[in-house]
Amino acid sequence: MRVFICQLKRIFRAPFFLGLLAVFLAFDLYLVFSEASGHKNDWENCRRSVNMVNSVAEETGTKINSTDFKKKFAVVLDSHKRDLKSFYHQKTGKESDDLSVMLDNLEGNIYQMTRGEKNRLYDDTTVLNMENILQNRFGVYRNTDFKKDGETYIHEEKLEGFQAEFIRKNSAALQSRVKEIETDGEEDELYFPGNMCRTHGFLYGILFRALVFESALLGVLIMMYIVNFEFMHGTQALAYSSRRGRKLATNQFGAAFISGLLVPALLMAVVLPAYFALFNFSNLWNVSVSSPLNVEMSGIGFFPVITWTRMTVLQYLWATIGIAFALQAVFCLLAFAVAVFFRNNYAGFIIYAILSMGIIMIPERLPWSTPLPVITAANPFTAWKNCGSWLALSEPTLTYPTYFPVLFLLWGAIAAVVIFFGVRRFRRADL
Amino acid sequence: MLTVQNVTKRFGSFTALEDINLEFGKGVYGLLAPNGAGKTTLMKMIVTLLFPTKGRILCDGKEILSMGESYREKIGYLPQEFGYYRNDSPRQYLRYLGALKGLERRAAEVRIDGLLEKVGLADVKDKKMKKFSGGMVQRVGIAQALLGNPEILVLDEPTAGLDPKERARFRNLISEFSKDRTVILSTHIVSDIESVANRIVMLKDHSVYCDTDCSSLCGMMGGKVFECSVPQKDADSFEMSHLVISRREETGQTHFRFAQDGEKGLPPQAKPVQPDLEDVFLYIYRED
Repeated sequence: MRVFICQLKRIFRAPFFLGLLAVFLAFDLYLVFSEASGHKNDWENCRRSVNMVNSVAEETGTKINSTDFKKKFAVVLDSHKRDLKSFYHQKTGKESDDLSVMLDNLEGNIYQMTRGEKNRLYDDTTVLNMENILQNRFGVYRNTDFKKDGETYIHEEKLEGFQAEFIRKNSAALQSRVKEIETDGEEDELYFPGNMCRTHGFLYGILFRALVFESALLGVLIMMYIVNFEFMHGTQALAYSSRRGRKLATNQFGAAFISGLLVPALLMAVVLPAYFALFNFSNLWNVSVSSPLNVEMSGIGFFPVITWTRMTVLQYLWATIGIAFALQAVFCLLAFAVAVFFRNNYAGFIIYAILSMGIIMIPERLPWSTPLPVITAANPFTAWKNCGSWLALSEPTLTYPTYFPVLFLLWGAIAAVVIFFGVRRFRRADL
Repeated sequence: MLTVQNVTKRFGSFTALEDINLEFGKGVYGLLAPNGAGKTTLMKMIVTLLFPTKGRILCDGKEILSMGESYREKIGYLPQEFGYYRNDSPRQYLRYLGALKGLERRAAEVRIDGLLEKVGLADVKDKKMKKFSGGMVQRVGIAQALLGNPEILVLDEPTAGLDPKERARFRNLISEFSKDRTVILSTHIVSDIESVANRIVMLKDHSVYCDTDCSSLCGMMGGKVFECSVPQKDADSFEMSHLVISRREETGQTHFRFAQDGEKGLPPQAKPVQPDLEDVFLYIYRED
């Protein structure tokens, strides 16, 4: 135990550990505050939109098709319409009942407004936009036939064999899930409208992607630093001839692995509370992430977030956190596997970086007549690249419901085999 | 008893040691050989950092590789190239090694303080080792080798970087320590083992050349070591025609100590002298 604690202390005292942790925290908090401040342009403010939707939900509830919701939302809407008219009159001296005229004029004068006035405009605009979005939500799923779209894609791209069957199967599963969304009430659940609030895209596509990358980077550095510590300092002769001997590698691995898992915990423990303190989700934790309101621009155009099974906002958040930790475990295991073969930190890190880039590129280069592109895309590096689309359909040709179980089994096995041979080699190596 | 039984070590096509047979009981064993003879290789096999290509090493009849921790806890080792953690103080460094050696924390603290006192580093025990001289670092190395109170002490060039006073302190330490223990030490500084070693093991051509006590070894050179003085103008030609052990310039004369088999070509003024270990070393390795 003492040896294990010595290794932990060594990690926590390493200058790069605290330094990088501080840099990453600063960067992530910058991302959060930047998103919250609405710097991007003067015509929108995601944070105000999110908090406005949340406060509407507090008054109206989240079941859009319920009588209660319709009544209460009408009251809220009316209140904001009157407020907009009053604001319009205050700023222009004119009266109008035409919402688009009022909005055009006010947005044209936005540069002359104070912060308080802008916030007032954002709030009113959010509620008015919500009315349109709620009314048009059925167009997201009901007008789409994913099975037919899949067949069209297969025909146009002249696909055949395994790839055609894979797309057919995914399209069918998608259509079946969409039917489920229509019938089990997810279609009628309030959510943060994607084009105004960008919650899913920012939280999972940007913030979590940064968190996973930073955790992986620091986890890999920690693993290589500790596993090769004695070699880098020339103390391997003393360390491995001691009573602990080559079993020291077990303590080193354990300390580095636990520290590696601690990194995402530390980052998330600071960044996520900061995010949720600024973006209030309190009334929307139990709504479905696959609500038709959750439509944002993605790699394949405006596409709704369709999870493979019903998941609430809270469940999706916890699942993402769980996957992030599981990926971190895989990154650390792979780093250990590289470190036991390359007893030099610099060489090991470069090899790891090259491998990760190569592994991302491999699926695109494999023939689609075989399942290889699908199997090889189930790797932690591609998963990181697709952060924001976890547990949901993203790349239609590559994602499927069992993506993560396949990933963790496959890469856990790869890491275990490489580590087994590496440790065996180390046990018999001349030092 | 540590037994080296028919041990051969090869690195690829290069044979470092061939068919070594040795026994180490209680006492001090000096391992004497020039660079590249295989001393460090033998020592590393004894401390399980290297594995023999053939043969085995036994401790009290059991193979050391199968004994694992129960063997390694008997060992104290000071390598030839001794690494350390620059930002650690000697106390922190020894604490870590104490943990690796399985010492209980409180016992380790007492032992660390005692050892640092013995090696003359008590005043700097909390200073960072990056500020130490080579000799100070070496003394920390000696302290860590003794830390676990080992039954078998393996020291590879332990006096490298030590001044004469420190070397004398080291010799006293080893003499004190070697009661009821096995000490194997290798060195090029012959005088370091001459006074403390019970037995000398010499390696030549990757094999054991001899394994005997110091007086018997010196006795082998009986009647072969001489001293004489020659005029300085003849000194260079004398040196080229004899196996010179040492040369000293005096007023108008050069004083030589040299080794020679037989009396043929012996200068008339040469007087035989009592050979010492350095004479033996230079004579045996004269072709290397």
